[in-house]
Amino acid sequence: MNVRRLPNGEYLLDLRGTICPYPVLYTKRALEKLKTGEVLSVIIDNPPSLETVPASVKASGHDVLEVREVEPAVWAIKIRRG
Amino acid sequence: MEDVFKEYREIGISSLELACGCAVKVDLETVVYPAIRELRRRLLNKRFDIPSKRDAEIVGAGRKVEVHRRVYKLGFEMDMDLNDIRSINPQTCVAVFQVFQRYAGSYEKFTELLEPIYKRISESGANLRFGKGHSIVTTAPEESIAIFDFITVREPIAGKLLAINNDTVNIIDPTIGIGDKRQVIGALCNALNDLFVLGVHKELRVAPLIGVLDSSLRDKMIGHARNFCRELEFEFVDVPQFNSRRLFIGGTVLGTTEKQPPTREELVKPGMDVVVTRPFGELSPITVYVSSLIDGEVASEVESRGIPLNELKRMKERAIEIISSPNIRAAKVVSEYLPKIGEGFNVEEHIPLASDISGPGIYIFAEIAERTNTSIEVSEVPLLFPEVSEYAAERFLMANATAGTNGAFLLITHENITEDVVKDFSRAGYSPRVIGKVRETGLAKVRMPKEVLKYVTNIANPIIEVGD
Repeated sequence: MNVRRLPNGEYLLDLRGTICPYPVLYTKRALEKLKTGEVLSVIIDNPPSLETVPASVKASGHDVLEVREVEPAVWAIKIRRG
Repeated sequence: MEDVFKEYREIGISSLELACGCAVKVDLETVVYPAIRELRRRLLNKRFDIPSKRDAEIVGAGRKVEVHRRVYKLGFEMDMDLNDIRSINPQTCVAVFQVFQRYAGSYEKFTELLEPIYKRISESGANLRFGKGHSIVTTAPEESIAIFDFITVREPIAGKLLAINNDTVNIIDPTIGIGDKRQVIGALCNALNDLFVLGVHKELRVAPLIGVLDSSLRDKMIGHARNFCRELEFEFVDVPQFNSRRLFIGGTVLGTTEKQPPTREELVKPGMDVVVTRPFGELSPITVYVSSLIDGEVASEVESRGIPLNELKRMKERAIEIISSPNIRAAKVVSEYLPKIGEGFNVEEHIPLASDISGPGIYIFAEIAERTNTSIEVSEVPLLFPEVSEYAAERFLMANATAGTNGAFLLITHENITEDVVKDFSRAGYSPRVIGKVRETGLAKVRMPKEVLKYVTNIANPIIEVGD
């Protein structure tokens, strides 16, 4: 699961196709590589992860900036590392 | 873990797409059931029936029962041979729909995908009842398919019922090889469980469904299913299999009974007991063990809670053993508390309602409350591995860490027979206990103890109240 740096300086982690518990684990791993204040967008298509990923990152002290459906049944969760 | 991931990758499967236990299914409440209601409305004048909601399908038994499997592509022009359907002349069928995720998010899209196939079947003139259909999600658009097992019953027998169920999982344990026999046996036990919970345990037949690309692996897995049937004296039904990029394992299972099924919601009354046949929550040690192999922090956190990793692995193995053990002895006990067909149903002697706890875990109480329109008070949540379930929910590894596969049964029993039922399940090797009571009728509600909050990330069910 590779984190990609975008031209705007933010990071992208595409977790489409993965199911629980992997989105929570790989999001956590990706955030550990970022510096405080940097922004990561996680792309998921597994509906239960819409609940578990934002809840887990908040519990770890990060900020969930936005959860948006980017195409039918695909969501982007934008997180700022705390 | 990387070695196992590599083994999976070599045959074109990503372990990260595989759900442990009950497969990634299309949401029943928001998608499947509304779509079925819509399809029933649109196909109102056709000669077949699509039940609105169903676990196992139950029809009259016959001396000859045939299973005819057909696989159709969805989302393309229908390639269905109507003469084939006419020659099968089925009374009922069970189906697995594998749908591209874009169609799985709303009932409108789901209906749009399924309607052509129902319409096409209707053109055959079949007088057909559609039994259980379950739906799983694929990330590959070209893999939207419908697998129909058409059931033909010939030479009807009075006083005997045929119960039919189908179910599939992605994987039972992603930390062992795909070809391990426990993957297949666990999946088949999970499918059989919906028959066993009804007390159905005679003339059992298994038509396995193995979706995988690698033909030698498929043959090996079919071999496990065949051996499982031989050992337990079930009939193995040889049916076509097919290629699938997304692994799934399961099958259609059939069995007969001379007893009435315990599906009498209207007979559930205040004062009755809520019994579980054993503690539940089989999936949490599998999920936490997998997570500990991927994330060292999970491993150290689990150890810091007094669970050494070898102990967690032992728990995982215990869970797999439970999942891979058919609950046929439990089915025989349930059957002892059911009246024969044609006899009166006396709730002081018989079990009016039994349900499989498997996938829903604690949410089964809400389902039962809704089905019976009663309020239920649950006094304890008996879990197999409570400390592991607590960790799984606390760390958001599972939204519902009480979920299982091939799970315990929930029974509603009259207080006159509860003690006997509990004793009989204990004698059969289970660990039954009374965990609640039906309190009132007229309002679907569940009251649960506060401890339940430790095992789910968010209770999120409007009819469940949590308190002391």
